[in-house]
Amino acid sequence: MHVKSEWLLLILFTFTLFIVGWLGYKLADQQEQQVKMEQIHGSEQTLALLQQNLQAYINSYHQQLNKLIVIDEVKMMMDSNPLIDQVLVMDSDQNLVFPETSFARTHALGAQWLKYLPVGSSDQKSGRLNSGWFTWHNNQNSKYIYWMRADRILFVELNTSMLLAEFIRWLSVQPDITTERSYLAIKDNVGRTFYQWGNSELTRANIDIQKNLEPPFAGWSLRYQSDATILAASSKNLFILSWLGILLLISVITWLLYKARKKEQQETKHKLSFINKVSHELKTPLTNIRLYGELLERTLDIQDDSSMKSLQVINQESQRLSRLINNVLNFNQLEKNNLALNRVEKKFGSLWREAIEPFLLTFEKLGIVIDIQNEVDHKVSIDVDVFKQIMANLLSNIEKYANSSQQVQVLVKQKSEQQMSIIVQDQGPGIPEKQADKIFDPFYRLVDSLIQSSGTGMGLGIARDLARLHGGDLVLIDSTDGACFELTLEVFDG
Amino acid sequence: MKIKQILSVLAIHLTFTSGACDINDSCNQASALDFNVGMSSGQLLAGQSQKAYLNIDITGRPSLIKAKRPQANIAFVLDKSGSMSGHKMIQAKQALEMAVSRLNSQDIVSLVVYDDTAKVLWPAATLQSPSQFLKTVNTIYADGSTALFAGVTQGGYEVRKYLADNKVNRVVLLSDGIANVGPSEPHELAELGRAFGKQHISISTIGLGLGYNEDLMTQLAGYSDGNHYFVENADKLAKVFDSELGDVFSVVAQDIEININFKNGVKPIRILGKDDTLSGQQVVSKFNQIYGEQKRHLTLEIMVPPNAKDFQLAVADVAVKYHDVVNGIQSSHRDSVTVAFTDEAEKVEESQDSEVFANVISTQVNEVSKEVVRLRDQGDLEGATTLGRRNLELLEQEAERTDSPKLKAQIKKEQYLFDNIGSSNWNKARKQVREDQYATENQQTDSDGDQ
Repeated sequence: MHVKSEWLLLILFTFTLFIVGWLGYKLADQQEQQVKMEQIHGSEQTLALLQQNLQAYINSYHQQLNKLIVIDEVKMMMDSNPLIDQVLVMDSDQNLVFPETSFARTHALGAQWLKYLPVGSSDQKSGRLNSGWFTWHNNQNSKYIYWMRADRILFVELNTSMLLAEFIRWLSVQPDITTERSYLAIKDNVGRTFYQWGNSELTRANIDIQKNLEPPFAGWSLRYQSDATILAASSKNLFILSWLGILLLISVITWLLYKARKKEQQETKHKLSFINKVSHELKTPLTNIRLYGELLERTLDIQDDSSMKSLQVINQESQRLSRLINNVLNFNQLEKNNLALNRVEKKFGSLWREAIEPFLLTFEKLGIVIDIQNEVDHKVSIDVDVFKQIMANLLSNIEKYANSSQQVQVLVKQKSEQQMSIIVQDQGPGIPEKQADKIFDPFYRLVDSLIQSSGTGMGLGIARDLARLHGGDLVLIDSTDGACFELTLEVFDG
Repeated sequence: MKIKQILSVLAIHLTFTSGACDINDSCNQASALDFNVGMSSGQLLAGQSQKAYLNIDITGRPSLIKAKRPQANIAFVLDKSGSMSGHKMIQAKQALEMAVSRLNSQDIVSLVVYDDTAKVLWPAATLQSPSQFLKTVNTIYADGSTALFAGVTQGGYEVRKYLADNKVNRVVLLSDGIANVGPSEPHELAELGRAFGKQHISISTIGLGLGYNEDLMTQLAGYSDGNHYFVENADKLAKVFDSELGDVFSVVAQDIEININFKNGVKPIRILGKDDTLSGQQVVSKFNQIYGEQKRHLTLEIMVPPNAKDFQLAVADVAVKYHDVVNGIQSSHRDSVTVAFTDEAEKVEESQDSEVFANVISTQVNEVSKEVVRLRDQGDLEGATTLGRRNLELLEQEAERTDSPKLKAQIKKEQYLFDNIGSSNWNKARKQVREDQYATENQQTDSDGDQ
């Protein structure tokens, strides 16, 4: 019994631990995935916004530069605007209108730039092709040229560094979307880092998004890297920590329960051990009392009716005491699993008489008639003491709790090839359905029965354990009138 | 080489005629600038097409009232990359502290630092609380890479917030390393310098230690008309900052625009010291500023068509517009240059202006000096040595002949280059040479001779 319940506790504990741990892991994993997804989504959105802003920023350039198609504007802006290095304006016949120069190199440059214009852009309907950018390589320098075609053709060569400076200035006022664990960089067309935010020494990144920029920054890219694992891991760690806390709590509670139970068991063991010892001490004198009492009743011819009655009472009570002591001793033996059966071949009829004899006088006084229907008349292989003990427990229960019965019906029959069945039906108050399960528990007594003075609460439990030891069982059968127990015993050799 | 051609031109003696004073401002004693416009020789040989030089000298007058200095609009741009840590950063902070102590509450100051990226630590504002500013300076710690381009950009934009004619608008960049984030080629920084120069913002560059790119730093400064300093030892930073502020405070004129209109078939070929080939009849050149007592010159190589003897040729009209910082007004100066023709070589020689001649020699020697460095960079030690020796010999010879203090001062620099062509510490020598060349080219006032 003890060992079993400890195992149960351990299994329960391990199972809970496993379930809680697994759930925790699952949740943490889910959370990590969620954090990562949120990060990716957030990053994508922010980058898209940045790109959108950049486009708006470049469009503002277009508007500014488009004004240069008017020559007076060019003259004014050339001097004051550090962004503009050179402007060429041509008429619809591709003749140079500005600057007014005969310098051959300027004309050659104009001819060269014309080649960069997309073919078919003269079509006024395809409005998209009326302006744009190209990169012109002069020695090692990349020059950004803006072109626009209306009734005239405009070319604006920008001061590359000033354009980049303006770009940097613009970037520096954009909100910094990075953290210690992310990095955002703009790479130029030769792959150099042009501008960066966040942690440039990020060693590993599980989010790596790259987007290309629009002209004039064609060939440039925006690269965002983030280490969401650290982020997720940190929240995961927190999560695992809290789960570990819960697990620890469960462990502590389990341990405390185990401790309490262990203590209780220890106490019970001590009590039982004490009772056992006392019972043993009581058994010897009681045996002598019974022996001499019964001898006296048989041998002495007592005429005195009252003395005879007194002697009978002494004998009955000592028998009862003997049963009690046997119960206690059996209980201990059963607990320790060292009760061995001592089967003998015996006719059931004589066995039955031996079993009920101690109760006959009491039942007679209580006005209870035992009505036995016996269908088994051949020999049975049975442990006499065990059988008598079981029956004594059943009958003494009737004496104690169902003493209002007029009749106790006993049906004895062969249940199967090996088992016999003894059904005992009384007419007492019966056992409430709710408590039907518990009556076999050791030391359990029906609440109602508290008014009864005697009884240890051990009887039915021991009776069932003994029946089981004898290859059978003791069960409560549904009954409308009083309590009805069925005892089965393995009594026939196969 | 070109030197031979120049010498051949200079060998011809010409008479010199000075341009007349403009009635408006330039002859006014209170004006910030003095002009001296003329030809390298007042007379040219008749009957032949020939090269000659047109020279414009502009001298800043000493500021009369010392206490009245122009207001400064300065952005300090500090490299705070990892290599700046330790002693360099401590010295840089002390230099900033010294600089702030020289500025007053009328001056506009901003502070930009850069590592992986550039940050405006102190946005441009009048210096109301120097202690608060220094508190910010003290929070700087060195860390990260070198986003030099972004740093200079942010500094430039901070200055641009309060850009004004009557303020000295300047970015002071201190860096000890190679730019590794953003554009980092010298020509890219040169272009940035040019763009800021166009906005009348000068960028002075201070190269600290032996790890920076001197080509990048000199070009950045050169194209924006700022100063350049090579500071090997961080202990000298405060001195350099002091010198830089001295320049800033002594600015007498700004946004000097020189407009030269050539006439009568005279063709400009190039401006000495600049690579651009000129086209058309008009040449526009600019100086961002002129300091008190600083003498700057613009010398143009020109082609004069053949003319008859005794003919007075109107070569060009010169118009100079500038902002007079001392008087707080917009000023201008006009001149016209003429040259006479003779058939006597002696007269040509007599008319030669030795100062203009020295300018030409100085510029040419400096250009050859750059070529020497280029050869040395290519590993052509022999070629560099030969050219360097030839250049030095020519300089010594001309310095003696013209008795020009300017050329004599230049000998020391060329000697240093020649002595160090084969030096094991070429890296350091190159930085010094670049600083020297820069000072010569840009007529920087202070040549501290920090060798």
